[in-house]
Amino acid sequence: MWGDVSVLWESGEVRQDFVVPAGKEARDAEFVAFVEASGPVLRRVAMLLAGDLHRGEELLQATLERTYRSWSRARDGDPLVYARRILANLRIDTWRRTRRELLLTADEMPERGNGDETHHVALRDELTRALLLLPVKQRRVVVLRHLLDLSEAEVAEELGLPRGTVKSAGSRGLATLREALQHPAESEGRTHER
Amino acid sequence: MNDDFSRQLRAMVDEAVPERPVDGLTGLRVARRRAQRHRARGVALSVAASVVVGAAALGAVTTLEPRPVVPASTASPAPRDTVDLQPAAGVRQMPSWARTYVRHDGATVVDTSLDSWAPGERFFLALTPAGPGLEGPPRFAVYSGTDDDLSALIEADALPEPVWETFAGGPRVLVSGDGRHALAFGPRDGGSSRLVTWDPMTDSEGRRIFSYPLEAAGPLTWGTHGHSETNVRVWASRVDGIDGARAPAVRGTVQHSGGFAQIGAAACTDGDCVRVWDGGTASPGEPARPGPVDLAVAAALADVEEVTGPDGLGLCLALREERRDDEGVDSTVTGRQAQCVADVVAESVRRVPRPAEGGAQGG
Repeated sequence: MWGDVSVLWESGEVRQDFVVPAGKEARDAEFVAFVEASGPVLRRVAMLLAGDLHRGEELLQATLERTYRSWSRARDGDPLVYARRILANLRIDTWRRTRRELLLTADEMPERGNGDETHHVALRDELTRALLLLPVKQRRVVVLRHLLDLSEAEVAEELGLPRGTVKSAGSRGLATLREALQHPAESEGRTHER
Repeated sequence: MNDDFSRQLRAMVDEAVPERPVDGLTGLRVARRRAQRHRARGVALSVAASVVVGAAALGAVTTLEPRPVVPASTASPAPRDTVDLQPAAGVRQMPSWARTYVRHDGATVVDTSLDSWAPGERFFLALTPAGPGLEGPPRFAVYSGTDDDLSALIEADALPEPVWETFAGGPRVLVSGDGRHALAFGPRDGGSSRLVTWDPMTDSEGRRIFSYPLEAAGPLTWGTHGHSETNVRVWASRVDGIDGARAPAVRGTVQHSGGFAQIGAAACTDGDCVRVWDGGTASPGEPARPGPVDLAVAAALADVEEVTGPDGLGLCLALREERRDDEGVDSTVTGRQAQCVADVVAESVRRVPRPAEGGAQGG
């Protein structure tokens, strides 16, 4: 099989400390805390749904934007669930390359020559290629139900689907994934019905 | 059982897409800026809508003209001098100014200008973008034909039967029936890339090389979503054997970008990336075998705990430097680095855990 291109990021991030103020600033401070707490899992979901780092990044940014615009509603409940619901249902119709705005931090910017990413990226390529074989609905169900390990009820609520649909879509998606990962050569050239 | 497979999948995801910190202040800055743009766009759209309505009304009373075929690429008057279009004996590259044509269905046809081994023909590529909502991966189709065939390819309602259609996720190689000619092609995502071979080539200075910098044409549409799209550049090389010998076997590509410090590799280890085409029919191909030095390097890397770390690359470079006079080692420093990136990634991919064979399906 083909592996894929890895991405090694140069270090050099500048971190800033901040003081929690009141009013609009308090809202922003809450949002910052939310991003730091939930950003990693949201970005992982975005990456799996979108199929590559850059589209996943765009999906994450769109999710953060919408969550920020509706922060008063998001913070009333669990902001992570709110944002995840946006992420899982967002039509990926506005993404584009925005490398200048990547939300990467110094922790994932190893020195040039450190090839840890090569392993991750090769594996990620295989996974995302397999996931791209699934129709969007199945992909969403598989990512939430089987990769994030949410319950069928949670997935049904987040995607607005009947539980039976979640169960059947998850099962079919899982079977397709299993086949694709165990026999990658046989999935070459295959796409699902649109 | 599905539960077992789910657990294996989650373990795979944990390794492939590890959770990593997202800087909160950067997230806030991006969210606020996008929210501001969203508000501004709301105002602009109300103006644009009236323009679109006006144009639609005009269209309703206007006879439709056939859509002209327009090269999609921005033509360059001359090649950049940083990439050699004939980097080694027997190798010719598609130039960056290769003509590209957008079809009515969104696919882009690329005239590689590289001769086919079918007499009087040359190779064309058609890149079909990913479907809306990512409901289908982008695909490459390879064609061999004349100017008339190119016109038909651009204007046909549906793409005709290609020599080969394949997922556009990495380098691919079409090999002639006698193995003396090959067409290698693939997408390139910014930065610079090198094509790496298993077999030696000779550059213009007479040096033994196993890789060369790739030229690429484009940008081409790789995926579309609503009014947005993402682009990719495409490279293609014709690689021939010298004096009737077999063409150097393509190993893959390595990529490097100074701006974002990208480095990595794509390698071919099974048959899905190779097709044999004798000018009439195509059949699955076999990936090439590594040489003795490659095997020795692979054996040494197998003992390195963190093979993609500095230890792996360092060991590989030392081994290849030590054996730089051997037939399987590039005689240039840059070339040995490219070989080692490919070596390390190959070992890394070999270690990827896979879901166990067998087990119940569905459920």
